[in-house]
Amino acid sequence: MTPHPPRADLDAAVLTWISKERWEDDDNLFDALALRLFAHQYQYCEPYRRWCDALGRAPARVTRWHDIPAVPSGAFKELRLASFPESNEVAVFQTSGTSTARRGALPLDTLSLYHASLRSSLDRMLFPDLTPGQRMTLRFLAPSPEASPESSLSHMFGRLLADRGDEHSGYDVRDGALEGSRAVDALAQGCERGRPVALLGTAFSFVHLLEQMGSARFTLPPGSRVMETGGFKGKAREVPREALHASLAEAFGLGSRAICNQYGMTELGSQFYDSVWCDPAGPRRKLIPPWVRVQLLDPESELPVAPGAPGLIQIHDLANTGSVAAIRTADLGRALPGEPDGFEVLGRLEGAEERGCSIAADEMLEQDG
Amino acid sequence: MSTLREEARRLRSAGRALRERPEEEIVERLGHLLERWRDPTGPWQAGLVPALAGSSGFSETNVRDGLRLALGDWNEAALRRLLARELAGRPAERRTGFALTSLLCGGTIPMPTLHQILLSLLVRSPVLVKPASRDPVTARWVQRSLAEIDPVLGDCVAVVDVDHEDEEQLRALLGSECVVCSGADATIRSIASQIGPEQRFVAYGHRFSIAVTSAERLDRTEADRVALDVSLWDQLGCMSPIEVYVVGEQSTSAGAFAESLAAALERREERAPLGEIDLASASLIRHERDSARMRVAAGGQGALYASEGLRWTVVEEPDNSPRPAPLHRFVRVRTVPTPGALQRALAPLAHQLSTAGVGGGLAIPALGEARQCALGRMQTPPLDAPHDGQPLLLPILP
Repeated sequence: MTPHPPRADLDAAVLTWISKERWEDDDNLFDALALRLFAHQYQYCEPYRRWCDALGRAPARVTRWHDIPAVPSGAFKELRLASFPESNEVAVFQTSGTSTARRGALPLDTLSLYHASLRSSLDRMLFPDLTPGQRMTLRFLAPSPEASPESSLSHMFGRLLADRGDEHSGYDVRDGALEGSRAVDALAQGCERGRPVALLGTAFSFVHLLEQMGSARFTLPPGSRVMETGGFKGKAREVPREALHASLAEAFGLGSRAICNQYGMTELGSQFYDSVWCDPAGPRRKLIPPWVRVQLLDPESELPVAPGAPGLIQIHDLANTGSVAAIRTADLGRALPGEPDGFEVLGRLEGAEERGCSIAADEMLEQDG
Repeated sequence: MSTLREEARRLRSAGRALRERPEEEIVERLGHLLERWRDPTGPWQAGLVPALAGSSGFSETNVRDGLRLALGDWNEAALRRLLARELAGRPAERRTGFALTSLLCGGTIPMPTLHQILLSLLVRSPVLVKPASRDPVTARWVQRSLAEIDPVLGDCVAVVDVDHEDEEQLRALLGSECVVCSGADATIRSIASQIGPEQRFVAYGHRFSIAVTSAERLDRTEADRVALDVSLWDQLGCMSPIEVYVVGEQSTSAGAFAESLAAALERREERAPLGEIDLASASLIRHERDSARMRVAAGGQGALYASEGLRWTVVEEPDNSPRPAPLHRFVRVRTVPTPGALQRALAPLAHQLSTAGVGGGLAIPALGEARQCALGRMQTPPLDAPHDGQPLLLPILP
């Protein structure tokens, strides 16, 4: 599990930054690493090279990270975007979907950076109150990594379980179905022990859990928390995030700031978490790790929007060394005035497929609903 | 201001007078209304066009073109045709609708709102209308027009704004004997779950449309017709084609037509510009344009034709992989070898297909219940054309 040899030094440099005990922003370092990484990815990822050439932005013409071409996130469904030979693949994470839809894929030749980024973010964003090595009960409303090896979320949960989970931790989705009673039993036991519990899963899995719980209510021990992620793409129902958080707070006897949303994409090596745990007094926002940059762009002009205005989210993630670092999403976000370390996600275009074509949108709804 | 429940009560009462009116007289009055609406120089269009453009963001020329073409054959004769086709031989009591119909409008386009109000009145059912959030104008304009030409009919339409958070209002809105709902599938599922077994629920959900032409007959006229179908109402209606299938063995046909369509959309843009685009739609257009451009750059297949800004987009697709439809004059062009292959390719989606515009002298097999019409006529269904393959009046009769 080593990176493609021409990238080894670069990976080591990024890993050193990610692994620092304190998060330290460094524009010069970011710029230098981003440009080196761009040159590497341009050389070794052919579809990306062609894309850059079509845009007239080869490395020789790019002098700052802002000008490095981003690929649309949808391209991961169409092309193998890897800057290493296929024979070196150690894992491929795929976006969710059904057999009728194309799925995006992130090929990896090493998981070192992925794991380092994951651990660094989770320690700071979701478990800042835990001491090194301290464990707690983690219940995952998701299949295990063994059951769903292509899922980056399950992989993340697997790492988290190994790092932080105690003996009462585990997965509550089996054979594609949420076992709500298992989760409820685990919560009840957590209450009896008086030890905090963390519940983690997709937003839709929480909707299912709440339905299965019926009128059951808990007052989870202090320090308990919820992390939900993802949206309602292809689902039969949509629940606004605020309403979901309110329902979760009420069902588990938690304050709203104990509930954290993760904004992530399979195509990225890093994720973004709400600031609620590491900056409980500040406004809720997605915090940006130092090795990542987020730009908000006007979709028409493709230029950065004015501060505070909504824009298309474009992410430059140095942890994506084996693929393409700059990715343009179809999601909208906004910077918060006076909070340069974060942004808020305004919406994901999950209804896009229902707006017109995408094949069998309704079939997907039925299957997933 | 009366509450929604009081408004419903008033409508039920007004409905008694409506049911006493001879059907013949109602047909004549509704025909008169359509005649007045159709007049491009009359006061109603003069007021409606800027009001609709202002509320929906459509350009005024596009609204004017849309109304002119859609209302062209909507007249008294069409109303009579509809009654004759669907209700022939029925006694009067079986031609009368429910004591009250609630109409939940969706989308941005005015025609379905006008159409559904007319249908309710045609079967003498008063109608409580919740306008679409993106078209607060049309229903009120219909009500005002009716009140002007026939106060009894005008009294039988009430337009109400409903706060979705207000459960009491929602209950009142959904308490009618008949509830007709247009909108996104998720909305329909949500409404359906609140309708009782004794009530009638008529739903018109998500549909899409396609254009089909022949590789043998690719000319500028054909492209202009497709451009008109794409650009009317900025492609936001379910009858707007989101894909064009060029039938022919030559894989280059789609490319030739895509280029021609791009030029036609530019001509159309000069005459009837695209209206406003919300940020989410603009983001999706940008994303799909970038994705197409990258496919072309990386694989050398297909092509992208795009306006300055985000005014229109044509993507020549090298394969038949499903891809999102951003709308707002964004169209994909594909090749299929034969009409039979087209039918097979669309078979899994046939139940969602609203309209197939067909040109190039082609005859294509039935595609589910989809309406087939000539290119350039996709947005102008006859007033009496079945809706998604279903009758218009029978579903709203007891």
